[in-house]
Amino acid sequence: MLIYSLGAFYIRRQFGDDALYTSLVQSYVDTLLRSGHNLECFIEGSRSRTGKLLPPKFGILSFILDSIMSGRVEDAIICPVSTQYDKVIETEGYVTELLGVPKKKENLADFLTGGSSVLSLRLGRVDVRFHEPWSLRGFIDEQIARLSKLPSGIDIDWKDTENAVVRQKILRTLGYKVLSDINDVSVVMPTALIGTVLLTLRGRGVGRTELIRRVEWLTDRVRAKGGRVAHYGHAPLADVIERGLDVLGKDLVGVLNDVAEPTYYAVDRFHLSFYRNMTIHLFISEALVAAALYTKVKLGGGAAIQDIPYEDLCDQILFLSSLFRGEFIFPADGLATNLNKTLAGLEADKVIHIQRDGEGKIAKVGLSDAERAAGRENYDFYCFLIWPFVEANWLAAVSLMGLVPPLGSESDIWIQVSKAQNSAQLVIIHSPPLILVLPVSG
Amino acid sequence: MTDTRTPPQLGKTLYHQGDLSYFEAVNKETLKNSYQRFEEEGIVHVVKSKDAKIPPRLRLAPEWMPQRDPATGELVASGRLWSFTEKIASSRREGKNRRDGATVSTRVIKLTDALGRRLFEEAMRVDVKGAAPPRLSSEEARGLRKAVKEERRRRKLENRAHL
Repeated sequence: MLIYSLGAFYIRRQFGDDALYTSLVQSYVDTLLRSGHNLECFIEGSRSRTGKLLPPKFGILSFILDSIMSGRVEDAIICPVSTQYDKVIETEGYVTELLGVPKKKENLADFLTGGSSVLSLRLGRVDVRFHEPWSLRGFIDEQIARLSKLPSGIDIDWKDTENAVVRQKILRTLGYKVLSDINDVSVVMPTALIGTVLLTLRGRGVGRTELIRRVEWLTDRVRAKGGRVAHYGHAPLADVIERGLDVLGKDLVGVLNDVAEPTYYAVDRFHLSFYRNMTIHLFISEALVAAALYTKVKLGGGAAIQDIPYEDLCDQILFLSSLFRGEFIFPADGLATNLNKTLAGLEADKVIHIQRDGEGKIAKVGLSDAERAAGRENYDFYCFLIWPFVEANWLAAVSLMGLVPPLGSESDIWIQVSKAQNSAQLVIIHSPPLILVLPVSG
Repeated sequence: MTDTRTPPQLGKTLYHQGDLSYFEAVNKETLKNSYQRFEEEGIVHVVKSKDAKIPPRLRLAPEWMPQRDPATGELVASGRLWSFTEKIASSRREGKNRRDGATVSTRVIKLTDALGRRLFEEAMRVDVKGAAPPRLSSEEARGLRKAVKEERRRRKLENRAHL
């Protein structure tokens, strides 16, 4: 009831085929908007569990869009808001859940008392930013004008299936526009920078001076990719990092003081990965190029041998981006444009060198001499970002081999999805004892 | 309660032993995402029953099914699914303590096969309360055939490249 009086309303998580319920919610939204109430909704649908951006949820947006497009409501003003915390809320609960321990039911009491850190206010800094608001009516008109230009004159009859496609298209564009607006105003928090640096380093730990240098470097990279970094006021970077480390706490980042220089190391990589995931979307294209190039780099040999033919590079990038399409949100310009842009950027940063043929087409791509001389620190950074995801997918794929029916069993046996997935987690967790106890089949 | 501590401890051990480069890979969400991809690629078929009590079930698609050695019954490290796995592995980090090679493949395959056998044994134990039936009803089978056909068509039409 408390939540009600704050203006929240409950909706079912799934509507199923319940047409009555759907029209009920629709008229509820209509009424709210017509009488000028503000409506707040979370486009990501849920809190991101791993710190990454989530694709938009279209449910509530679709009701709002319908209110306007049907003409029942004149207009609505959309204001994308980004809310970020220095500390990822409830990571502890998520970590155990992700590792396969059943989720505890959320309840308000836990939320208010020590169950989460929301009200115990150990979130560090909270950053709320607003995008410039815009008219939804204006957006729709713009989209319809744009769409009807493509083939000549689409008749705007929304009952027509043709137009249902158009409506769906507008909904999707709307979802991704809101999300990218949120992205545009959101900032990378110092804790995310620290987490990213700690998880993209070779070696056990990092000295204070080097940590500061890497955070500075990453800040530049984030800005170069059009991202923003939280303002530090007038505090020197060293102090900001010190505060960030405090927020993360010694359970996540340890420090050795009995060495020549205070040296920081990742204590809990799983926890820290949530922080790294907050920057990964900025570098996903570079990371895929790095991972595709790695297929050759890992084979070793002379520098020239490690170059990858452009065709092979494209092939592996296409494969990986398809594999990760539910995992990350990719830039919207399409593969070819984006790949060329990414390669040009990496070439300009002197991370890679590109060999072109007589006609100026890209023939081969490899690590640049400058990057090798610098100890591959840029290249490694991109690889380290994506490797955990490559590994997770590899394990999932390996677990599929376990779905081959045993010899002598019928071929058409169906396995419960959740059990298959649990078993896939088991592949890693319990692997040594199993290898030891099971006889070789035959 | 002690259960919550056990998996990280074991995972950590493996991580330090070098068989697993990233403890983070033991991640339910990523795993779910991967299975979702595999379904979209047509590698596994998933059937969601109309009966809310029956949880979703899956099966490897016949055209992706790896072979067993007819003599030993062991899974063979080749074929479409294995190539797919190897293609992911080619971008995987090579650790200080792990070189990709035949030993890794053999070990991994044996392990996943052993775990798989348990899955099949469990699936056949239909008397367990709440267990999903290991076979489809004729209505579900019909629905599956239709869905598979449609998915195939969609994959052909769709340009899935993103980046």
